[in-house]
Formats: sequence, C-alpha cells, structure tokens
Amino acid sequence: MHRVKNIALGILVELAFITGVLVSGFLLGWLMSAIFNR
Amino acid sequence: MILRPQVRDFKIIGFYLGKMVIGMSLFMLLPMAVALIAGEREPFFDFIISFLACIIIGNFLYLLCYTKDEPGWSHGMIVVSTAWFVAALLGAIPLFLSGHLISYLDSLFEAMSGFTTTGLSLAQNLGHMSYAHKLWRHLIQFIGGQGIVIIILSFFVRGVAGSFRLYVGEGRDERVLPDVRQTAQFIWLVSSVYLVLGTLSLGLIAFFEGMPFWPALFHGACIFMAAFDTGGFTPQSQSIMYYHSFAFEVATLVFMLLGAFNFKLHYTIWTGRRSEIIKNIEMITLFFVIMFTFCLVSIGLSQSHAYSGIAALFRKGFYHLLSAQTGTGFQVIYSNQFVSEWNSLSLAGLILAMSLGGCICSTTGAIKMLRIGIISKAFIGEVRRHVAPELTVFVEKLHHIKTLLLTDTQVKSAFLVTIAYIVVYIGGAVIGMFYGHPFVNALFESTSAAGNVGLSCGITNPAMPMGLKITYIIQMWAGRLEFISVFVFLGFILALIKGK
Repeated sequence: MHRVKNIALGILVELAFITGVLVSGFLLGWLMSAIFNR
Repeated sequence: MILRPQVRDFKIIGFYLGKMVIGMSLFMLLPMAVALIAGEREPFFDFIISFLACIIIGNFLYLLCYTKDEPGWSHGMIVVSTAWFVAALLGAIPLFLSGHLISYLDSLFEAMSGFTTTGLSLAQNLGHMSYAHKLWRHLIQFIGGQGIVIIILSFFVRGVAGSFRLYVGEGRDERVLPDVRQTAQFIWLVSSVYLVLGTLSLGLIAFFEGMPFWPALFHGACIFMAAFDTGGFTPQSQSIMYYHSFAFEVATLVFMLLGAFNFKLHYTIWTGRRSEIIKNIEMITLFFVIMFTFCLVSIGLSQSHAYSGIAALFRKGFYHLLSAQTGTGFQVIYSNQFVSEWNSLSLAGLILAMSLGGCICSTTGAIKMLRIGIISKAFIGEVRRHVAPELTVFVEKLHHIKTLLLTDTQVKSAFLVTIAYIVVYIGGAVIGMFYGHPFVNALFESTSAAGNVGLSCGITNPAMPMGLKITYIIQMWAGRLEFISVFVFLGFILALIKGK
C-alpha cells in the first residue's frame, strides 16, 4: 500500500513539473509575441 | 599489434545475438494475435513468415554458438551494436511484406527508424495499413525505447557481470538499481504503469472527439507508445494533425516529456524523494534549455508573423519545440511548412533543441541534458577560476540523484560525446547538400536523424536517393548507441581484416 501511494504521489509530482513547463512556455510565448509581433 | 578475433569471440557474440532474435520473434506474436482478432488474413501470414524467419535464425545462432562464457566489455559492445542492426534487418520483414514500402531498403529504414525511436517514415498510405502492421510499427518503437538489450537482460541473461557489460553498450550510462536485471525490470514497471494510464487517457480523448471506442483505444495505445518512447510514428500519415484536438495535443506533450525523463529520476521520485525533480541538474538544465530554445522559436515565428495569436504560437511553435527537444517528432503542421512558414531563427531554435535532446537513461537520443549541465558547470567553474584570486581552491559540485564532485574525467567524457554528435550532425548535412538540398534543410534532417527525433522538413520521402537513405540509417543507428559501441564494432571489423 505504501509503495502504491509513493508511486501515485510520484506521478503527481512529475505531472506538476510538466504543468510548470507548459505554463512557462505559454507565458514566454505570450511575452515574446507581445514584444516582437508588431 | 591488433589481435584477430578468435572462434570463442564469435561464439559469444552469436550466442547473445541468437537470444535477442528469439526474444524479438516472441514480440511478433502480439501483432499476429491482433491480425487474428481483426480478421486480417494476409497480415496474419506476413507475421507467420516473419516469426518463422526470426525463430529459425535465432535458434540457429543460439545452438551453433552455444557457450557458457560470460561476455567481456568488447563483446558486450559488439553484441549491442550488431543486435540493433540485426533487429532492424529482421523487423523490416513484416513491414516489407505489408506492401506499404517500395523496397527492402525502405523497410530497413522504417524499422531502424522505429527501433531507434527516431520516427522518420517512408511508409505510404498509412491510413490503409492493417491494424497488425500498424501495431508492429509502434511496438518496435516500444521495444527500442526500452532498449533491445533490456529485453535480453529481462528474460534471457543470468550472469550479473555479463548483464552489465551488455547494458552499458546500449548507451545507458546509469543503473537505476545495483542489479542491472532489477534495473531492466524497473524500466518495464514505469513503462507499463504509464502504458495503462496513457492508453486510457489518449483513447478516451479520441473517443470523446468522435472516434469509435475500440479504434480510439488502439490509437491511444499506438500514440502512447510513440510519445513515451519518444518515437514519433503515428497510425495515420498526417501525424497528430489527424486528431484535430487540443486536448490530444496537450496529452501527447505530457507523455513526450515523461519519456524524456531519466528512469533513475522516475525511480527516485517513485520511492519517496520527490524534491529531486527540482534539484536534479538534468531537470534544471532541461527547463532552461526548453525556455531558451523556445525564445528563439517564438521570436522567429513572431517576426515572420507565421501564426497570429498566442494560442496558435503555443499549438504550433511550443508543440514542435517540445517534440524536437524530447526527440519525439510528432508534427501538427505539414513538413513543407517548416520551410515555407518558419524563418531561419525559428528553425535554428528547433535544430538546437533536436541536437540537445532529453535526459540520459531515458528513451530520447541526441547529446542529452546531463552532458550539457556538466559542460555548463565546467565553463562557469573556469570563468570563476580566472576571476578569483590566484590561490583560491575551487571544488565544483553537481546534484544528480546525489551530490557529486565534478571531475575532469566527467567533463572530458561529456565533451567527447558532444563533439562526436556535432561531427555526425554536420557530416549528414554535408551529404544532404551533396544531393542538392540547402544547408538549413540538410542540417535539419541530419540532426533529426542522428538525434533520433523524427521531425522532417520534407527531405525524407520514398523518392530520396539511396545514398541519403543509407546515410540516415547509419546516423540513426550510431546516434542511438552514442558512438562508443559503434567505434568498438568498427575496431572489431578492423581486427578481423588486419589482425594477426
């Protein structure tokens, strides 16, 4: 049970990191687009 | 003096090759079963023929070369380098019999692209390919992503020392667990857990987008295998464009990134040390490299006004950037749009991402993040050394699972592999230019092949010259094995010719 809980929490942490990457990419794209898309 | 290889050497190599071929033949039973269930008569016989060919060749090698000797370092390297080539040669049989590839060379290209998780494809009219053949295309990516040798280690090798020698030869520098066979089993555990989650999530998205349930599940499984193993094959010729779904695109981004993570990192996080994900030098390097390369891509695309609005920039620009960085090769635009819509700056960002790749001990190819992290640390250390007072003593450290001292050997090794990759990228580009392609296009395709990415700007097609097909096959093979075992293999050939 402890092992399954660790795996589930591990998967959540990995998904949180990936969400961070995707959100950062979106914001960076928005910023670059605002500056250079004139 | 170079020593000529002895009969004993050939027996060890042949014995392990035989085991690998037998192992691969067992995987053919899966598409055979699918052909039976789907009522695909001709594909079923294609796989019977391929299975028989593999089982006969495998058993012949196994029995002819039967030995109890453990493989040495050089044997391990040669077994691995030949195993990948033999796997592609035999794995190409059902693809050739499918009739969707015009020659055996094209089938070999397709199989090598699959096993090395590259994703460049010469197959025509994928929409009409049988379920069994489609599954085989994706299954070889799954096998290749885990590592062909992992199969041998998981099921067929008993000796611990021999296992490690085979494992290292496959370009995986790290063991997740002290025992290599346990490492192989853990890699299967991670892949199986995500296989279930990935197939269900992608299948359900496809189902809610309007696809019938069983085909949606089949597409979910195929796309998951291609995304997590950073392969890039798709069941349809239009790649991810076929699904017309933002949710599907986001889900593939998640699985591509998961596939680019180090299996050792998965293990550390799954066993409770969850903060490792933000401390690890590879993850920090991966994050900053993605942001830097996306800066180049987004500036380039904004300047050229290729896509209006942030949503389009994210769906086209960031998607391809992550597809390139993780070495997957999924596309949401047609190949010729890279040339017609993307300017040089955005293509430079994409080529840079393809050349750098994901984490070591993952399913990605190319230079990889740990090496970039080590080289960056070495550069920063060198600058600090020059700026600081003369007698200051510096100790450079890096955190990769545990805190390590940065040694000259690590820096030298990282530089050597990086230089080898750069030489292969440029070498392929020169050959591409020889066949009349512009420099940027030739470098794009060459980096995509050697970095095992699979994005194409249109050079890869069934009509391309035979010389270019052979070049890309060799690049995919050498890039996947990270060169060392390829050099040992070339040394073995040299010893065979010139040895005494």
